[in-house]
Amino acid sequence: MIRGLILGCSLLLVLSSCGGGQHKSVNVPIVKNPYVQQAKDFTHFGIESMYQERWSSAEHAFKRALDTAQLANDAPLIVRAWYNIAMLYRAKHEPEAQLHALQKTQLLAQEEGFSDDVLRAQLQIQLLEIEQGQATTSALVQLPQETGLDIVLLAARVQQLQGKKEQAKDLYQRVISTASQQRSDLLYQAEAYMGLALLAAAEADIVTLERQIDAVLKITHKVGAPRLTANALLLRAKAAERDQAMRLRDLEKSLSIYEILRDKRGIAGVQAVRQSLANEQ
Amino acid sequence: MKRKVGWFVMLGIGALILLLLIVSVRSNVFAKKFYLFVSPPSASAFHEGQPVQFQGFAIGHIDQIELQNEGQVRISLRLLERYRQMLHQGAVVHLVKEGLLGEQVVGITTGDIKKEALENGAYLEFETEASLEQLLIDLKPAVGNANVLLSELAELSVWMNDPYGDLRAGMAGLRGMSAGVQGASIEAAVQEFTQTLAKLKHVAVDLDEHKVALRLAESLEKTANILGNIEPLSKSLGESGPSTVQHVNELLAHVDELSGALNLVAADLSQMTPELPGLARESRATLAEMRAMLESLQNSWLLGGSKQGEVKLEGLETAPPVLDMQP
Repeated sequence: MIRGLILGCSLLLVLSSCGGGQHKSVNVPIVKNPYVQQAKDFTHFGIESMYQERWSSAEHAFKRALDTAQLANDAPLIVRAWYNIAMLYRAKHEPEAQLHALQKTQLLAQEEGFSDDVLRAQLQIQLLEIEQGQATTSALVQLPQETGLDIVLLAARVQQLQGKKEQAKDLYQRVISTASQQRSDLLYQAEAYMGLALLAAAEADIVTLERQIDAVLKITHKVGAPRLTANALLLRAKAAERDQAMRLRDLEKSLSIYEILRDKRGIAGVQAVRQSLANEQ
Repeated sequence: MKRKVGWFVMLGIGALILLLLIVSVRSNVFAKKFYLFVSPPSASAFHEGQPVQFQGFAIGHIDQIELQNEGQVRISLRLLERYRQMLHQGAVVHLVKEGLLGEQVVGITTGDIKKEALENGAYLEFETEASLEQLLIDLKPAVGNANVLLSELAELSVWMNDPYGDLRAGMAGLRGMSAGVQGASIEAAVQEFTQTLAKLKHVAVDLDEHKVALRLAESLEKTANILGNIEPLSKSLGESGPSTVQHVNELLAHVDELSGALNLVAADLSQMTPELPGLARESRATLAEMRAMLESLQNSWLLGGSKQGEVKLEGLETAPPVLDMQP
């Protein structure tokens, strides 16, 4: 009886060892860092929110993008996340937080050798300094041919605020001529037209101003950029050479947009122009 | 007496072992196995234990069906090692029906016999031998994607024909730079492309499903020829200088967009292989050619592919610069 059991057991043992050797599982896993994808998704969501001026959503998304980029230890994503956070603070008019984020961007981008991001941060710091009435720390460096359009646009604005009109015009023209049909590029193009319109207004060149404003409105109508639309309408309404009825119509349109956006500075701008129109009458 | 009983039991167990061994050998239990993997779009027609046939012979079965993290189906095929030398690189897996109403079994093709035998753990491509009902299901997205393609092409046509657009301006620059030879070639290509678009517009009017598919294949081939004309041009530009880089980049961006749309169409057409013989293969070959060309273009200096040193963060999204241009 016991012998039978022993034999049975040994038989089972032999058979199981024969079969076991054959089952070899081959694992070919597809490995992806989930934090990298999450960081990209949060960044995308943050930028979409920024376009629609939903600041709290954008802030949440960009901060989560930074967290996940740090978890992934991905230098390009970390640098870009800091820059995007800086742009958010700029939009929210929080200059100290913006400067801190820009300095982080500049430092990390320099360490990693990300030339475009170093340039972005430098130009944004210059812009901030000009706006705060400080002397700028550095002169504009020569922009390489393949520089991103947002950088060219930024450089143009810096030149404009520094009073270098011709250089600013050249850079705005470069943005206009090289922009693709993508939404972000169209918006950069519209801002470049706005920059040229502001330059034309400073030179009292009404024909150019009207042409540039038409171009801005055409693009903003296509892609949707209400604040820029209101700014363009307000600028056109300021042109004293135009018919008063048309100027008033532009003012009303810009005022309704500023009111929806709760833009106090814009509303004040409209009221100032309205007052000057009343005085003219 | 006890010893006789013992012998009798031993004999019985021996017979049992012998029987087990014979059955095991005949059913290849002890034969060496190897694994292959395939990722079909859906696991609905598969089940674990389903036989795998090669030239009508059962050479293994489906061992495991898994749904991976990315939502991709992965099927492990457990096959007899002795047939491994008969399966070469390029082999594909497909579903075949045993008779008109029979059960579907997994078939595997020989592959390219000039190439090496498949290795353990290799991934194979999956091809559908579509049934009639599947063809009808598959035809719907193909027609839908044809519409996507048509709208893409219409946009491209407008862009190409804009006299002040980047392409026309870019072509003027190219002509000046390459003494007319390559410029003429791209201009002819654009003309041919425009004719193709006219054909496609005609197709849009009559959406007879089979005709759409056939004409799309023709258009795909023509598109690939146009891209073939653009490629040498990029090489000549590499020798001449980067002054019109921006315009060519524009063109490439549009071509890239177009290839994305064509990809959708080809993916749908490839599901119809048996019913529309040659069509899907042709489209796929054209598309592969197009992809190879685009890849070589992307690696060229035109897109900064050969540039070393500076690190670029292309592909990562950037927030707009917020210029605050209030008057």
